[in-house]
Amino acid sequence: MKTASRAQTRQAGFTLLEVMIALTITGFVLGGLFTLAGGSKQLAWRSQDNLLQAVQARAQINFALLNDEYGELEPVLADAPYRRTAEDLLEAPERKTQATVFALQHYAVENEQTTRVITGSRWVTLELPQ
Amino acid sequence: MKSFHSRTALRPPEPDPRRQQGFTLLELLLAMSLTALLLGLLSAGVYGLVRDWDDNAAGLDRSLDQTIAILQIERALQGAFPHGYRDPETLGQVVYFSGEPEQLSWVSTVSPQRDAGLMAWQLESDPQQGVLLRLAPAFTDDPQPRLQQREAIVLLPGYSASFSYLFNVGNGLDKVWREQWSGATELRLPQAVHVRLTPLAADAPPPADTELDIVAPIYAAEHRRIRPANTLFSPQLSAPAQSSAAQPFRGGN
Repeated sequence: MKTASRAQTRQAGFTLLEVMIALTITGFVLGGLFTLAGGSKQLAWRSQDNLLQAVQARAQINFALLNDEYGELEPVLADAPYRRTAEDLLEAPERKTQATVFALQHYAVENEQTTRVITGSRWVTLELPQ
Repeated sequence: MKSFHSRTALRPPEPDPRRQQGFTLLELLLAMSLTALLLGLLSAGVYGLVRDWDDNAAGLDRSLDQTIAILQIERALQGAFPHGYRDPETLGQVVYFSGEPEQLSWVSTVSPQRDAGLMAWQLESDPQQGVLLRLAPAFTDDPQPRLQQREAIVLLPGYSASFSYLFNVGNGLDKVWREQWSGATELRLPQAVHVRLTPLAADAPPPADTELDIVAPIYAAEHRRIRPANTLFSPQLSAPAQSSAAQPFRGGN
């Protein structure tokens, strides 16, 4: 009993080193926890933003598919940083039994903010059969 | 034990162990209040963190639900079918499609439950709840009475929808977005449907805070037998050769 109490009185506190190590570990754990939460928040925002952009880009692509090669269709879409451009007609195949007014055309939908470009091809109606 | 005592006997005398038997009340109170303070701060921080986390997760869930709903609407509109039925009053064959500025009913080959057969869809913009959806099987008759009996589900909460219908017949000379489209008088479907989704509240939390659009081209706009009505306002489009002209989208099939 006596020896035990004496041992306690000799150890009546932590050394500075111990306290610092404990504080550092606690700091790392808490910092990791907060970083994780912040990272997940950022991730959630970014994925929400991407979902929104996917929906907007889809509307733009579908609008570009609406056979609007002369641009006379009223642009009904809400203001979005997208620009639709019509490009060259695809070359018609060489062997063809009958002339047709339908042709394939390249189109591009460009997001002016992210400079991402979506390309595709669509059917258009020509004024004269080719 | 004895040898131990003899070794330690050289050290300076230790304080009386009875005086160091515990902490004083003051020390205890101080330590406990400090601990309570720290724990309180920490738990407040963690509580905020967890609530933030939950908010984010719920917002992301709502975003996903909304995106899936929008894609589903787009698919169902693209798969619109010129469903013909016999009008019991006139005994004539008409096409089912009822497009109003705030409400749209149509028959689609797409069904969200993967039910067999054609499905009648109805989207309605409710100023309180959002965009409502009703679904009913389209057998061979007018599905409108069945649709009205169905319970509506809120498909897009926090949004109001307005519909417009693309009139685009012939070789692309007259392209107009109309506010209304009746399949019973046009006897065909519009070329495309545009849905504008507007947030009901200006300061709504995400994801219901952005204006969104759905544009769905309708590929199968004409019925196999029912000829489109010549209610077209442009005289050059009433020529039968042009009204029955194949659409470019069909050219690929």
